[in-house]
Amino acid sequence: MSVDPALLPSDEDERLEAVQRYNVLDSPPDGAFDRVTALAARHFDVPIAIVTIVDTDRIWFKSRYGLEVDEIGRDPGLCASAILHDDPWIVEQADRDPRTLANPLVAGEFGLRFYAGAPLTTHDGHNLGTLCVIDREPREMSDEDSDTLRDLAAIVMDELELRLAARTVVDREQTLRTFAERTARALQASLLPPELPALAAADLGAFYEPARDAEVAGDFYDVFPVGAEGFALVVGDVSGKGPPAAAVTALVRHTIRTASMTTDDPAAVLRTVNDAMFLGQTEGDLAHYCTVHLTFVTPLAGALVLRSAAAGHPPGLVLRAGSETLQELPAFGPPVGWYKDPSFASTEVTLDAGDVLVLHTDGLTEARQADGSLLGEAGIGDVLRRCQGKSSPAIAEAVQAMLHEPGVDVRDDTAVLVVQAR
Amino acid sequence: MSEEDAVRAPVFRVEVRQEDATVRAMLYGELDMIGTGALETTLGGVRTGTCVLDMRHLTFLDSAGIHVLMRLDTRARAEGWDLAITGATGAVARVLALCRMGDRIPITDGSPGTA
Repeated sequence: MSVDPALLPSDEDERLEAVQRYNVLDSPPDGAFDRVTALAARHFDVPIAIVTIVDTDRIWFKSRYGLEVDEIGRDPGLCASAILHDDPWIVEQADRDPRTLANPLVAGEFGLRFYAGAPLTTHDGHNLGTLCVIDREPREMSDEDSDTLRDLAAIVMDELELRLAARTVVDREQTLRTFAERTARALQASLLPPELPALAAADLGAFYEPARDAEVAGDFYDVFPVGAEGFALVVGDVSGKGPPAAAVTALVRHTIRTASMTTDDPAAVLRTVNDAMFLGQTEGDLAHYCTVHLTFVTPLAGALVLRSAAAGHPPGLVLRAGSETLQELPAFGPPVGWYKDPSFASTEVTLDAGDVLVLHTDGLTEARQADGSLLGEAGIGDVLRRCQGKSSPAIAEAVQAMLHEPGVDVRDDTAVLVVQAR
Repeated sequence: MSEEDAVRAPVFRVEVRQEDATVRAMLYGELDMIGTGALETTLGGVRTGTCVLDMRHLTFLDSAGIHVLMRLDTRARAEGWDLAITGATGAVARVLALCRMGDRIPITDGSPGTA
C-alpha cells in the first residue's frame, strides 16, 4: 500500500529507522502508556486518547483509551499529518476544516470532529508517532491545553527512551553472558579426553552431554593409563555453573591424574583431591564441591579387577553377562571440597567377559521421562539388558539416545562411561 | 488431581515449627535446584539452638539439594548452632548415605518424637 507523498516527512527513512530502534511496534500493552492515555482523556474530557506509532503504511496504537482497534492505515490517519509538525497539530472542527473535511474518519461513520496530536519526538529529532486526543464533538483547545498535551507526549517519549536504554543494557549483558558461556564451554570441552584411549584389555564407550539450558555446568569424565597395563576411569560433577565451576573441574581432574601416579588406592587419591581443594582455604570458604567416582582397573587373565572409591557420587552399575539384575557398586564418601579430613573407602569387584560397568553422573538418572517419573537406575538397566552383547560405544550411544526420546527432560549435564572386559 | 498435575513434579515446600529451642523444618516434595533457595531463605534466621530437617515427606533429593545441606552444615558450624536430619527414607536416605551425610550431620530415624 502506497502512502500519499504529501504525508511523508522529509526525514522518513531515518524516522522509520528510529521507529525500528525503539522496538515498540506490536509490543504488548504497557501500564505506563495506558496511564498517560487515561489521564489525557480525563484531563481533556474526551472519549478517546491514543499513543500512536506511525509505521511504513500503518498507524499502530501502543495504548488506546476508548477505542477497540489496534491500528489503522497510514493514509486516513490524522497522526500521519500530525507527525509532519513539531508542535501539536489541532483540528477543532474537522467537518469544516479544509485539512480534514474529506477524510474518511471525518466524513464517514466514525464521525471524528476534534483531533489534537502532539508528536513523540526522539532526542535526535524524529517524530515516531503521537499522543492524540479525539472527540466526536467539535472542541476548542487553548494554548494552555496545547502545552499540557505536549508535556504528556514528552512523558510518553521519556518512557520510550527508558525502555530503549533498558533494552540496550540487557542486550549488552546478553552479549557478555554468551561470550562467558562460550568460554566456559570451550574450557569444559578441554577437560574431556578428545578420544578414549584404545586399550588391549578393555572396550570403552563414553558420552558427555551439556544441559539444554545455556549455562555450562561441571560434569566431566576422564580415562588415563595407570601403571604398566592398568587405567583409571573418572566421572565427576562439580556443583554450580559457569567458568568458576569449570576451574574447579580442572583442579579436580588434574589432581586425580597426579595423585594416581603415587598410589593404587582410589580412596587415597580422593583424600588428596580434598586436601588440594582446601589448600590455603578454610571450611566454608569453598563455593564449589565435587562428586567423583574413581575406579582403577587392572586387567587380570581376561577379567578386569576394579578398585573404586566415590565422593558423594551415584554408584557404578554392573550388569553381569546373561543376568537380568542390575548390580550397584556401593561406594560411600562425602563430596570433595565440603570439609577437611573426610574418610573414603575403596571397594573391589571383578568384571568378567561380557559384564558391563556404567559410571554416570546424576544428570542421567534424574532425567525425567514423559510421564514425569525419573529415568533412574531402572531406565539404565532396561537399556543395558537390551544391549547385551554389544560393544561399549554402542551401549553408550543407546544410553544417550534414551535422553533424546520425545518428552524426556534432561535438566543437568550428563556424563557416562561404559567399560567391558575384551 | 488433573492429568497435568499428575505428571508435574511435586513442588518443594518447607514449613517451620518452633519447638522450645528447636526449629523443626518439615520438608515436602522434591528438593532440587528449584527448592534450594526457599529452604535457605526459610532457615536464614536460625542463629541458635537446634534446627531439625524433617524429611519424612521429602520424596527426592538431588545434588543441588545435597549442596544446600552442605552449605547449611557449614553455616551451622560457623555460627554455633546444631543441624540434624530426621525421617529420611527410600531414595532420600540412599542419597544421604552415599554422601556419608551422617558423618557430618546427625541423622535419626523418622519415628515421631525423635530427634
